[in-house]
Amino acid sequence: MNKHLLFSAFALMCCLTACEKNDDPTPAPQPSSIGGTLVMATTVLNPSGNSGSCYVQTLTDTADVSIDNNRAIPGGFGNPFTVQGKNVYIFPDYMGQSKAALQRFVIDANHQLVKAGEMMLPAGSAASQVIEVNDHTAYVSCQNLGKVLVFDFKQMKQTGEIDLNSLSGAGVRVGPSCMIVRDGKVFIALSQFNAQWMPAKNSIEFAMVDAQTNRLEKHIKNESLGLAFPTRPIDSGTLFMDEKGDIYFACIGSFGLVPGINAGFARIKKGETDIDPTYSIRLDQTNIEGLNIKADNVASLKYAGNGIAYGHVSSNALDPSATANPYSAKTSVAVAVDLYHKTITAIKGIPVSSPHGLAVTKYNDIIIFGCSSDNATGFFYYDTKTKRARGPVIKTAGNPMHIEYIKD
Amino acid sequence: MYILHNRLSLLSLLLLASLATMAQTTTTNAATTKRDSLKPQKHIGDETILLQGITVMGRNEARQLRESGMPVSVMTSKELQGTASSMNDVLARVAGVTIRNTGGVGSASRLSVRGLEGKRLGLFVDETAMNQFSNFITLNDIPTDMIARIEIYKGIVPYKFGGSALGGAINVVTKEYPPIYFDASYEIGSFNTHRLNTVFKRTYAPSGLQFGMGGFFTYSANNYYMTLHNLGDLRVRRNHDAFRKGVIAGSIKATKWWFDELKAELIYTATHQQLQGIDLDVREAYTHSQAIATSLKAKRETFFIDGLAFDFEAAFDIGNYGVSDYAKTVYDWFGNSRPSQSPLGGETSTHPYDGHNKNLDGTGKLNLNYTINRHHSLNLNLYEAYTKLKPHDELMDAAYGFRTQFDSYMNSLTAGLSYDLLLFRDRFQSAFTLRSYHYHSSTEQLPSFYVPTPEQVRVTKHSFGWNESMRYRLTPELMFKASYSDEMRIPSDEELVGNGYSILPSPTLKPEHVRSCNLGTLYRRTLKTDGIFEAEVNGFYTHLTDMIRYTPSMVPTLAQYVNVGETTTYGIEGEVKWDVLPWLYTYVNATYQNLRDTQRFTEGSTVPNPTYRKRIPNIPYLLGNAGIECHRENLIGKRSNTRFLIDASYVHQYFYDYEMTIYQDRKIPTAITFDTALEHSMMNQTLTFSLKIKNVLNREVVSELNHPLPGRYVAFKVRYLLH
Repeated sequence: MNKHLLFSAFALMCCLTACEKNDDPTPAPQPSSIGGTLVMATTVLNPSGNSGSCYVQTLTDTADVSIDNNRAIPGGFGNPFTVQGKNVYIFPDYMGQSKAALQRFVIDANHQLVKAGEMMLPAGSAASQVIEVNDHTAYVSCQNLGKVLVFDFKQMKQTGEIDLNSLSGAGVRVGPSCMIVRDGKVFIALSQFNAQWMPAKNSIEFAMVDAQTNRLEKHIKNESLGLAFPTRPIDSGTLFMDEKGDIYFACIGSFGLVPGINAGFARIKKGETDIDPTYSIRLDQTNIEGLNIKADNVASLKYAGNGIAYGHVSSNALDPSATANPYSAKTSVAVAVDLYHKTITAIKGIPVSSPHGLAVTKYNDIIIFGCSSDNATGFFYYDTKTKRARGPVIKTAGNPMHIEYIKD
Repeated sequence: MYILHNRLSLLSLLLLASLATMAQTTTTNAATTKRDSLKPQKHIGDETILLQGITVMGRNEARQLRESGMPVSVMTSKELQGTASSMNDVLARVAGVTIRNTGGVGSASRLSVRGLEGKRLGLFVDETAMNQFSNFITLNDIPTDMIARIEIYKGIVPYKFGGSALGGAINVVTKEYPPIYFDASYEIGSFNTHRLNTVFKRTYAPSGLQFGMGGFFTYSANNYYMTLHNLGDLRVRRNHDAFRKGVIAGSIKATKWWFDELKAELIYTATHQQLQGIDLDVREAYTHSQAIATSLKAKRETFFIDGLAFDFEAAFDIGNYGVSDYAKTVYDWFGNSRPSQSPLGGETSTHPYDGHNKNLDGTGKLNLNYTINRHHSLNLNLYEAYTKLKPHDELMDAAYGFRTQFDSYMNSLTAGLSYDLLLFRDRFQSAFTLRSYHYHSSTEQLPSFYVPTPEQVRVTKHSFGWNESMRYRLTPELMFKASYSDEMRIPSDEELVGNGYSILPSPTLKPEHVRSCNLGTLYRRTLKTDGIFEAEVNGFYTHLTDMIRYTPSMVPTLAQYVNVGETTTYGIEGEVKWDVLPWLYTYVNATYQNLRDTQRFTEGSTVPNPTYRKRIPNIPYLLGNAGIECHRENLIGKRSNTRFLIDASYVHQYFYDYEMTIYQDRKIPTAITFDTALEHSMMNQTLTFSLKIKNVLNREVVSELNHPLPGRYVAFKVRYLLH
């Protein structure tokens, strides 16, 4: 009898435990030794080649480590996430292969991502960036729609939209890109691109929207600087404000593929609503110090203060297969950009990367660079005080696509 | 892995060498017969064959194929009829075969055998290769009423078929016809589906001439409801997926001329299919194609020399096809609209299409089989395929501002030399094939889509491969079989030269390389009731390198193929077929196939591959089928037959992406579906009525993650057969 009872109890225990599908496990608590959280995304390509996965996860240590994606949250392939304050917005697939939902996550006390809501987006919208314009309203720019959707980020409900299609140029379509708020106005960078997703001419354009009324107030345009395609839609760091209140931004031009369509840097000065016609850094006119070649494109950027931004610039001269195999060519160089002195300097000790390893962020005095090279995939550390780089400190399973540091 | 390959190769070679030595000592004065290991013998009735005046008791063709050394599944006409409306329905029931449709009638589908799919498979109709003509006609177009049986070869492609398919082959054998034969059927089904098929054959016995005409027309609105999980489980009705296809064909066959068989065919086909949007509400885009194809076959059992059999065929088609997509407004499912990406239009892409691409395809096959004696025979097979593509899309070029696609051609030649061996009173059979692959392609290619000046690219490549298959019959009922192959697959014309619109040329592609082996056993017993009991188990292993993969280009909606990756598959499949009672037949099969990424480092680097040893996603790995068939003669009236069938299919949940995280959410859920049919034939099968219900329980089934398949489908079919 006892044996039967024991057996029954054991069988019941097996039934209760063995059938767990483990679809929603609770992450184990993690202490943070860095006073905040690193949020990172890696990408893995599927065998079909035309799709893949992106994995978003957190890290609370900067010691040498190898990480897998075992507990990572799937994100959108092509454009993983953006951070606003302590909110992490994970996008759907840029090309529309996943659920068309914008998800908001917050960092909990254990420095883990916890889902706080989601909002359905129009299919194929190619959502690129989110910006919170006040304590409850945010904008999401949708490249393929030519629209910015206005939503309550606490409720994750759409409350309006700003249609920018009327700003499309001749023979091209407008796509809102990165956004920044200054003095109650939202500056929305505009991509004007053709069927090849390329600009047709050198023109820097922004839409200026009133953050209170969500109404378009001004179409900002500059054709005199010889630059095109302001901000990289999937890299919020390519649009930022310095300590003086000047807005700086990178222009990605034509990725170096269309001669005469140029990339570089420009700005909108504090108090102004036009692009400063007296300031620019043209990549085609600026040597990368340390390499003695010129760059074609600004691939990623993070402003670190005092007029210095770090990131990757790509130069097709570094890999002969750059135009034939743009996704695998090793063309992206880690650099420091001195915006005030208009110099670009290569950072030694970080290998040249493919376009899949473009992450960059700042943690204290360390700049963390993603890199996908022939010999290493992961995050390298560059100490801005000692000017030395080492790595990969964090080895990743998949390409280090994006990283952000969120202070506690 | 490398050591295992070498050992397998060595083992096969040793076996072959020892057997060849034994063969030299056997008696060779027996009557000369042709013993192509897989070639069906001409049969009189079901069980008796006539060979050079000697009547011997034989096996029927299906059984003979099953018992050959190569792993092959055969679906007889008995299994073809019933719940199936198309070839895909039939093939989906075979162990180790998966069919993944992307929609309703006429939709694109992916066929795979043991996980190897698409272009790696050889597709044949009466041993004529179809891959070359896939722009215009597919296996799924062939009406099931015309089919005598389907042979599914797994792992190794029979040498007589020629070509360079790797993963296996499917050969559809059409019916042999009596002197006068007329077959017409019409099926009407859900989603406004109509299928009309007709075949007429007339044979004049004195002259040996047979004339045939036939054709079919298929139309479906495919307007079934679907749930869009990417859009918050929105439920909508498909509204732009109408498919129509018409084929007419004529043939003339002579059987009393110098050739034992000389046959010429002419086929015209036209297809029009709307493009159904899934994420977006596509309203205007469609594809179109039309082609004329012709073929000539000639066979002679004694070709000048006693023992030399000749088999030749040539096929040629000329066609045009393209995508038409120039709507200037794009809609979503909520009725919102926006301008197309290109000012010139395009709902499905960033640019418009108005393609009128022309292509010429040709294939030629020569098979010479020489029977040395009772134990030995040699076979030479030459297979040549030629494609010339002339893309033309002014609208797409206008959107880009320069010409985007260029004329191209490719030519491939595969030569196979085979040796057949039969020993120990035919208990042991072996077939060894050595193959040579050669191909050449030429095209112009843009260095990138941002450089308007094309470069001329010419590529010539050559390589070798071999395979060995054998079987041993332990008792009349029980046999064992084994096969090993180390072969190449020549890139297809689409992979090498593109398709003229969405796929760019990749003229520098290398052939894919596969090593595979199969071990299996078959038990087959004829029951006292004239029924059969058959059980078969096969284990298999495949290692694929230089995998040809589809990869996006810089322009988001264009793609091209590249050589990337390495996979290893091992698996097991089993099947039981049993005539339980004189009126009850049942079958069940199951397949487990474990495909793993075995590329240790990411391409061209020393960086560990993050998906090393992970399961290859988007391919089912556990699946099975089962069914029963009850039949009763003269249940309702004399000379009538009534059948009731149920088929069940199970596909276990699998992932769309690599399984990297416990939070993986993109998965294709487990699908269990049931199909059923009630069929009644009368007047000795002159009239047959069928009622079919597919997906009886109206389960939601998806494929390829985001492609909802039809729910319950009800069809009624009437067939008139004059024979």
